[in-house]
Order: sequence, then C-alpha cells, then structure tokens
Amino acid sequence: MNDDSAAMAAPAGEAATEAFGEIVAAHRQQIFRFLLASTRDIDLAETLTQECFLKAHRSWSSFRGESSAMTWLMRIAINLEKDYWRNRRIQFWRQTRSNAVDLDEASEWLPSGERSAEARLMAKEQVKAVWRVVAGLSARQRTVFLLRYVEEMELEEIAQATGLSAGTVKAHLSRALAKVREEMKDKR
Amino acid sequence: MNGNLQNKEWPEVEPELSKVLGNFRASVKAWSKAAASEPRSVKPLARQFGWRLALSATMGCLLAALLLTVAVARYRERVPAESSVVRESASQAAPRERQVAFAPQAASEERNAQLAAAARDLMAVEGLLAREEEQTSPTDGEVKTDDDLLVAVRNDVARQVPSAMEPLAQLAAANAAE
Repeated sequence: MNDDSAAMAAPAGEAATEAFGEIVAAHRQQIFRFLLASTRDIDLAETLTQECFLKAHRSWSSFRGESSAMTWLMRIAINLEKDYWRNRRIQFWRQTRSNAVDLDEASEWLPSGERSAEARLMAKEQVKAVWRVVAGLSARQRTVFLLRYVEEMELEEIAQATGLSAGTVKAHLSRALAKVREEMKDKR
Repeated sequence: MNGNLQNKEWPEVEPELSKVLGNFRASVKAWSKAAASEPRSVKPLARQFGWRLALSATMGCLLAALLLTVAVARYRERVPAESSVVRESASQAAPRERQVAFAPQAASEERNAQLAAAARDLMAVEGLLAREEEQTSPTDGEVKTDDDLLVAVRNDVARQVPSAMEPLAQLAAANAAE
C-alpha cells in the first residue's frame, strides 16, 4: 500500500504527469469515501475531491515524499473540508442548500454478509447508531474516528494527516469510542 | 491495509464493538462505491432570495436609516440654536436701525417745508411784479432795462414783504454751501 512515497517524489515533466495520474487512480476512491463519510453529502464530497486533486496537482512538484502520497492527499482533503465549513459560517447570508443525506439513508448500505432479516435489521440499527454518534462528534474527533475505523490508517499516518500529535489523536479516538459505547448501551 | 482493529497502539475495543465498527466501515464503503458510480447531472443554480438575504438586507436598511436619523437630529439641534442667537441679536439691532433710518427722513421733511414756504413767497413776489409792470408802461417815456426792473422789484419786495426774503436767502446760502 505505502510503496508510493519516495518513489513518487516529484518526478519531472511527462513522468510527473504520469506519476500523478497513477496517484489519482490509486487514491481517488479513498479520498472521496472519507469526504463522503465526513459530510454525508455526495455532491459536496465530489466537489471537494476534485479540488483536492487539483490542489495536489499544483503542488505536486513540491512533494518530497516525506510522507506517503495517501497521507499527503488526506491532509489536503482535511484542510479543504475545514475551509469549506469556515467559509460557510462566515457567509451566513448566502443561501446554500444542504444536500446531506439523512442517517436513515446513509444506514441503508449494509454488508452483504448478514444472512437473516433480523440480523440485517440489527446491523442496520447499529450502523445508524454509529452514524448518529459520528454526526455529533467535533470535527477533529470525527476526522480521527473516520481515518481510523473507516480508512484504517495507522497512528503515525493519522497524526501526519491531521497535524496533531499521536497522544492527541489517541485522546480524540478514546472520547469518540466512549460515545459510541454509550450509544450502543442505550440501544440495548 | 490493516483490518485488525486490535492494536496495542490504540484504545482497546471489545469484540462486540469491533463488529459494530466493522459493519459501519463496510456500510460506508458500500455507500461510497455506489455514490461514485452514479451519473451526475448539473443542476442549474436557481436564484432564490432566502430569509437570510432578506434579513441581512433589512438590517442594513435599518442601520442606514438609524444613522441618517441621528445625523438629521443633530443637524436640527445645531441650526435652531444658531438661528435663535441670530434672531436675538437682530431684534436688539432693529430699534437702533429704525432710529438711524428715520433721522435723515425727518431732516429732509423739514427742509421740504422750508422750500415750500419759499416757493409760496416767490409766487407772491411774481404777483407783485406783474402788477408793477401793468402800472408802469413805456408811455411814461422811461424805457427801463431788465436789470433795473429787477433791482426795483427787489427793493419793493424787501420793503413790503420783508419775511419773504429770508427763505430765499437761506436757500441761496444752502446752494452756495453745496
């Protein structure tokens, strides 16, 4: 997975374009999935994904390979999302339609492994409960939670992508897990 | 990617919770896969005047109206104060101005009366002259010049109507002074 770091560090000219194309193909789905889980808005996630790769393309020549390309892209995506919400708060007079799907719709997608209808129903309720918790988390807690339990990134990668220390990442994750446990307890 | 959530780096996750988190992950992946493969359609941006725009426009107008009202009120406070001071000083100056305006008028009225009296006296003198001319005719043999006649008339007037000469004298003196 992480074999694209040093080898991809800013080749020049046509090779750079080709290398960047490979980066896009390899990580586009992951970036989109993270942004979709963060915003629950398909159009917004698509827009931010485009912007992420556009920004990455502009600064591709300055990528030194100090972190993996995935971590580098994820950092750009996280900052873009942050900027989006900040601008939306400042421009309160602009009417912006929110296309975020509700939790029911987001919970409709289930793994196909569940056999019985009852098991599927229980799984759906649990997923819905997790979504409820995720929607109520702070921006940082949500980012750390999704990077860990959806994107399955390692501690160091999450720290690099978020710009937080490893200890802070763990602290955020602990608080998020505590809230999920509490929600699961209430559901029983 | 490491699918094992049990890692000593991380907070411990019990098996039941681990299963729930696994379901959540799978759900998100399935949803994102379906969403990414959906065809997109570009929706035209409909212009709508939302309540936020209306509220901000209203607040802007209210603020502008408030500022204008305050400015006008302060201007009106300043102008009456200035005009009352002006009115007071004007009312004090008015009697003095009236006195100054009437003084020359009084003097000119007196002078006009004097002139009118002098004119009446002159008319009387002319009447006397006319009678004397009738009385003295060229058949007496004495052909008198105009100057002689004037001298004779003056002497007669001075003897008969002494007061008539005074206004004439004053008028002559005033004309000489001018």
